Amino acid sequence: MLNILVLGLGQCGNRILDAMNREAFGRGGAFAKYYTRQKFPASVKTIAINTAINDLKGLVDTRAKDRLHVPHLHGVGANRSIGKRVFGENKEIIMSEIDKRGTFDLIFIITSAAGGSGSSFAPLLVRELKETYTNAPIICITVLPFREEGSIFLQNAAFCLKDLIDEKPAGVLLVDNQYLKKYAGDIKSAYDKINTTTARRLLFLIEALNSEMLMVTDLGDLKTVMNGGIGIGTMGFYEASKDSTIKSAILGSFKPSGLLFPTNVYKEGARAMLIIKGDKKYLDLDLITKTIEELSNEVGQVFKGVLVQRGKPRVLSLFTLNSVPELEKLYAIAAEAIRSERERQDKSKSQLDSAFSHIEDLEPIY
Amino acid sequence: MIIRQYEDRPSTESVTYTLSKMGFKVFRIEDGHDLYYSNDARMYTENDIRVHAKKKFFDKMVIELNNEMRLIFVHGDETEAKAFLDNLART
Ligand SMILES: Nc1nc2c(ncn2[C@@H]2O[C@H](COP(=O)(O)OP(=O)(O)OP(=O)(O)O)[C@@H](O)[C@H]2O)c(=O)[nH]1
Ligand SMILES: [Mg+2]
Repeated sequence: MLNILVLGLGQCGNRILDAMNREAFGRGGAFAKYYTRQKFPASVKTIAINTAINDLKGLVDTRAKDRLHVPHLHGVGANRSIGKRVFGENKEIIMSEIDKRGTFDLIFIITSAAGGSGSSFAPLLVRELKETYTNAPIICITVLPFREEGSIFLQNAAFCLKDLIDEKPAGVLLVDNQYLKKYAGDIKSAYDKINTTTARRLLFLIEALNSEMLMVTDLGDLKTVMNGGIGIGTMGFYEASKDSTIKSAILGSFKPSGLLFPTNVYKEGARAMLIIKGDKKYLDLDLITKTIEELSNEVGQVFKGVLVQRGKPRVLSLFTLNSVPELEKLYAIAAEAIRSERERQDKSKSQLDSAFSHIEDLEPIY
Repeated sequence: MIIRQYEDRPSTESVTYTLSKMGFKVFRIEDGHDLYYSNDARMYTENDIRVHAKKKFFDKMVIELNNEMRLIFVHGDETEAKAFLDNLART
């Protein structure tokens, strides 16, 4: 059995983690067995880490002992420099809390790239975890902001991603709020939907890696996939309707509508992993093999895992990319935002200076 | 039952490992067979190793390796037999 650690950092990471715990406990369904509240041996450990105690209090399905408050007023106010300092000051507490949970074969870190706490903790945590858990691949689930959220969030996202890549985790999987806001009209329900969707996909993957499969893929393959391209990728998903073939379900999981980040997999894809679950009667292995061979011609190496499980075929795709045009756009916007922010600051400063110049050489007279 | 010809002889370990990844427990390994008539291959042949495995009482799989003919025989549910060969190719 695999030992898996899932860390949710900052408000966004906390909430996605909470959604994972909800899926695992709440419905008492397929994943319940991974959790200690049940009698089965635990293999997934979760910790929500935040500087803001109110965010932690707002969680519903995460156990109290799995919420770690790193004290710093009410968060670090989207300031990554403060965030880094706070991490440094509390490193020992954080690492010893993780250490209590044993050893791990695979680690997920979930965070927004745009806030202050999560986005500054994540790269530093990657560094620490790599030192302590040398064999466990670390996969960062990184949430990108709505583009209209303002220049501070955009620049945080730009620098956070760079810091992350510099620390060389096993890979980064992107979740784009902007791309996924189509899910709902208002922000709150968009968040809920995005969080639940992301949580379900991660659990879908975890469950597969932890199961006996009809066609086998494993952690080693996952590492190989994450190692592909520039080490950045995302996930797709497709649930087949009644009469669709397994082929269309597989191809469906590459469609833009099911992706968590906008990309053209056929053009940008480097390596991929497909996890297929469904009733045996749908699992035409020859067709699966053929479809995946065809895909490999376009997307590079494609690994497949097939699990016999009740219900219509469901396919999760996970892949890394060779290039990410959408990210380049984001960096361009971020750079522009930083420039105009600086101009504005310089301008205000010079306005203030010229205002002050009126009283130059003067002393107050009483 | 599925028969495939192989290039490189799979080791008993890789057969056992692949079976375990698919949830099968190996409960018997026979080797050093005598010549026998195989209904499946319709000939006298000497399978030098035979691995018996099962999953949940009724799901059974028997793998036979025939060195002389470079053949692998997979007895069991057809879908699982196919998957087994695919998985074995990975190891
Ligand atoms: N998908 C999703 N995004 C969220 C959620 N909550 C916040 N975000 C996004 O996360 C970014 C802000 O990061 P937070 O996670 O709130 O920041 P933090 O890590 O708590 O850092 P500080 O509050 O600055 O200390 C924004 O881009 C939000 O749109 C959520 O529940 N789901
Ligand atoms: Mg916060």
